[in-house]
Amino acid sequence: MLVFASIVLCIVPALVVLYPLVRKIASKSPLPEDESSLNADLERRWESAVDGLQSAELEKSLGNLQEEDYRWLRDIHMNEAALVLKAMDLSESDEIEMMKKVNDEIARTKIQSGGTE
Amino acid sequence: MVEIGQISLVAAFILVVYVTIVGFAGGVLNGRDLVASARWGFYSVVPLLLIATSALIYAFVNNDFSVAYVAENSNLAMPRIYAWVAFYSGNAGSLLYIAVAFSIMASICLKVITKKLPYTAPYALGVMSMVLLFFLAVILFLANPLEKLTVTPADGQGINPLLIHFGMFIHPPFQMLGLISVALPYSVAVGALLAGRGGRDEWVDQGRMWGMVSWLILTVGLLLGSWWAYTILGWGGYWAWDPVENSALMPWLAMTAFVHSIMVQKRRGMFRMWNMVLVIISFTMAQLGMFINRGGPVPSVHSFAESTMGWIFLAVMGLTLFVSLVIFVIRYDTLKSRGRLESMISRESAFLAQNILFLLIAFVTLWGTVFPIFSEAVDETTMTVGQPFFNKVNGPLMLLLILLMGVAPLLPWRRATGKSLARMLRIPVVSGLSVAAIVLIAGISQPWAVASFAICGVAVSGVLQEWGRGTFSRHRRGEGWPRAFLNLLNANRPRYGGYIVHLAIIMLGVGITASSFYSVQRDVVMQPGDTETLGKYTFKYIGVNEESFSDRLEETAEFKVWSGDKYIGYMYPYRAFYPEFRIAATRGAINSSPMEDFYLVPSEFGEDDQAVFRALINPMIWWMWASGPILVFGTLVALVPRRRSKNVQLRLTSLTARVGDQNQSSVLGAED
Amino acid sequence: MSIIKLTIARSSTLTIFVILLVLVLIFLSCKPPVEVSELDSRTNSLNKSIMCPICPGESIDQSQNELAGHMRRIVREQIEGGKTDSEVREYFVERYGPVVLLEPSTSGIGLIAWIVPPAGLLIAGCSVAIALILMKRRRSEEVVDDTLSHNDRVRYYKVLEERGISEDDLPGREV
Repeated sequence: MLVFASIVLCIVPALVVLYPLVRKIASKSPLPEDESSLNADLERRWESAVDGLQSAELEKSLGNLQEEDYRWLRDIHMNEAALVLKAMDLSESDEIEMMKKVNDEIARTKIQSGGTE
Repeated sequence: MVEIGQISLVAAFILVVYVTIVGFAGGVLNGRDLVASARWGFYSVVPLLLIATSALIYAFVNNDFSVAYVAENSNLAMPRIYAWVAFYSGNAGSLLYIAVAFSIMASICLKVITKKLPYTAPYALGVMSMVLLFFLAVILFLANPLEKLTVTPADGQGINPLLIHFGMFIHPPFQMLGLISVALPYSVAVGALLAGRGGRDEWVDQGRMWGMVSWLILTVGLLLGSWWAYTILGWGGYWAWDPVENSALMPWLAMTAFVHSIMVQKRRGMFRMWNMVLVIISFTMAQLGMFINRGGPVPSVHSFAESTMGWIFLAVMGLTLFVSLVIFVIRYDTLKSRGRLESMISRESAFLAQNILFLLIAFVTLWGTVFPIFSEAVDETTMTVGQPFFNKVNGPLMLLLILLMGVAPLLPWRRATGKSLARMLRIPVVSGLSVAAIVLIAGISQPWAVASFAICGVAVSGVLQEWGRGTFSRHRRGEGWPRAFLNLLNANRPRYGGYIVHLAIIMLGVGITASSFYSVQRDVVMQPGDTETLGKYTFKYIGVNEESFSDRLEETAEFKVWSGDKYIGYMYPYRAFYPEFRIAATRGAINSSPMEDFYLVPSEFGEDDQAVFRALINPMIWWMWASGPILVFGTLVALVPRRRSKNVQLRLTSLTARVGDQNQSSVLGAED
Repeated sequence: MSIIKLTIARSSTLTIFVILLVLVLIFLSCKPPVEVSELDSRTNSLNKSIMCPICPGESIDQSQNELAGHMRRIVREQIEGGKTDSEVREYFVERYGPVVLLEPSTSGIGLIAWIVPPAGLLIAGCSVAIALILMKRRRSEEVVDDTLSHNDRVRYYKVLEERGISEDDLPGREV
């Protein structure tokens, strides 16, 4: 009884940890988004800008903020949000640029290899 | 069954060694299968430890005295349900409890961070499993609760009689859970550092969440402990600045600081380095707490008897601190701030001041706790540092903290101009002064008490002002009052949840102030039939009932009590003497109302019917216990995550697509 | 004062009403402190400042030990016999050493215990001030594209206004 139990207690966990290694399910599944990626960072900054705007609205309606301060805060956060958009834009246009370059390269290589053959 | 439990422990240990190695390896080598394997391994530790725990509880329930730990901590007379208490009441058992509880909490944490922080998670996993590894190693090699005796005694030694109270079902487990739960935000933070992913605030959301969870558990543990001390230990007080109590307070102070300053990082990208250091300090203090708990060199009512165990905890604490700081220094460069401080008067600076104040109180508490050792080493005289010292020193500091707590939420982010500051602080300051005036008129003259009530007044009105104005402004836009209020709360959960917690703290503060300065007590000698008074209470001693049990002698006194002219009823304080432990456990009888508690406790029963009783009136203690549920509620409100606009990504892309369209046309026009 | 004029009249009256109500409640709930005889109050406070030598860290007021009870009786006797508080403490210190007092003495090494907390407060205050000054001066190190050209600004703000910000990205708008 005891021997049986100890075997079970040792074998089952061993099987559990071996399973992912053997079946490689993790490496076959799609790569999760890196929390440090530019995208993730931009999302965080966006959320923080939106939070800031919301809080400025709230503070104004509470009467904690004067009109002048409210505008100043709002401008700061809009600026931040706009910067995020711009960065996304750039990164997207960068991507587009890069894809263009890659396609060009491929096309050129094809022509060359086509030519020599 | 016991043997199966032992095998589970060994299996768990080997598994955790595997998980630690493979977890880190998977992170470093970017091997996702390795990481998955380590993760599944970590989850599997939970059932193994549960089996070991069940084996131990089974042994208790069946009075299996062949197990050394069972023999030391229970006996035949112990009611069966206290097997749960006996399980963690001794050193070895408590280690197993911590291990199994931590493995469960950490598994939940792991599941969440694997999804949210996929590249940090392997390293966080490594850190968590190292923590678990330490406990399992100590259990297996130093203090195994399932160890067997060579000779089975007929009966056990029994559980410490002070522990036979239903408060013991929850306070120590909560307290120990709280201390180890600090490892969760720590693991996330240090994991982020190790992964090189600490510099862009990736870990902040998870750090905040697990920090708050840990804080909540620590707070509940402290409140339960105070409540238990008050209702069970019979000295009419709730906090004695005992070394073990202090060691639970210090990580709480550090975590309170952390859950606030992490907000600044979330909002402004500031305090990045500071938060790392703070979470490392918090965990160090939690470890220090465990050290003092396990028979450190400072004597305490609470500590487990073993003293050698403590030093190992101390050594590991030192090692952890050292290694953490090394990692911090290596990754230092990645932690530069994103935002910058715009004004000396702003919410950011208030949070910084608050953080420093919390750490100062923690330091002073630590200083008082270790001063006896210091004085002995330097001067060869042992000095005791007890309640009077801490009250005098920490009291004013905590008062300052409550003032800050009242004022800081009113400060806007980034900067506060003079005009807006005056406007915001107007009502709170007036309220504070009014409260001071009112209590002075009503007869409260103790300066610290007046100051404390006034400051609580400032803090309360700050919160109510925000609530009132916010609800009013929504109401103006057409919502009915109750709706407006609830929607306000719901739309800004972290902020208003925080306010609820602040209100609870103010209730706590009021209760502590009133009971600290205005408690009265009298020791009286009474014979059956005698009547005594204290304040407006009259109590008549009817007689005492003796009852003998197998392990104790219980003497229950009967009292008839009046408040002024009104008859309140009977009260039954009692005293139980345990000859084997040579301990007397008293239970006070308490008549509680929000205004005050009337508290009767027996000191001794003499021969010839004479008995000594202590009567106390403790004002406003009720507020302290009432604050607990409110505090929990507030924290939960603040924890509920924002329904995150799904597909923020999508939204952004669609926005930029529009912008892109405009881009096209401008490229053609050759601009910029 | 023009600040007062700015407040909306109704909310201001409501606030004042609430404050007055609360103040009345506070007044009613304050009771004059219960009178205890001076003997009792002196005994209690002395008991709370003397430690029971054989109980770890408990005062003789707190502890239910026999020795604690005995010591409490001695304290009472001594006060009734006309001794001052410090004389009573001296009595116990002579028998058990300074360790029996629950707060460190204000002379000798004990003084260090008392000095450290206020010194800590001073240091803490200075560090906060210094940290704030330093933080205010330091520019953020990260290279952040801080500037938007005018055209950029117009373009993006338009997008934000039209789509991004007026929607439920910003739930607080309804605040």
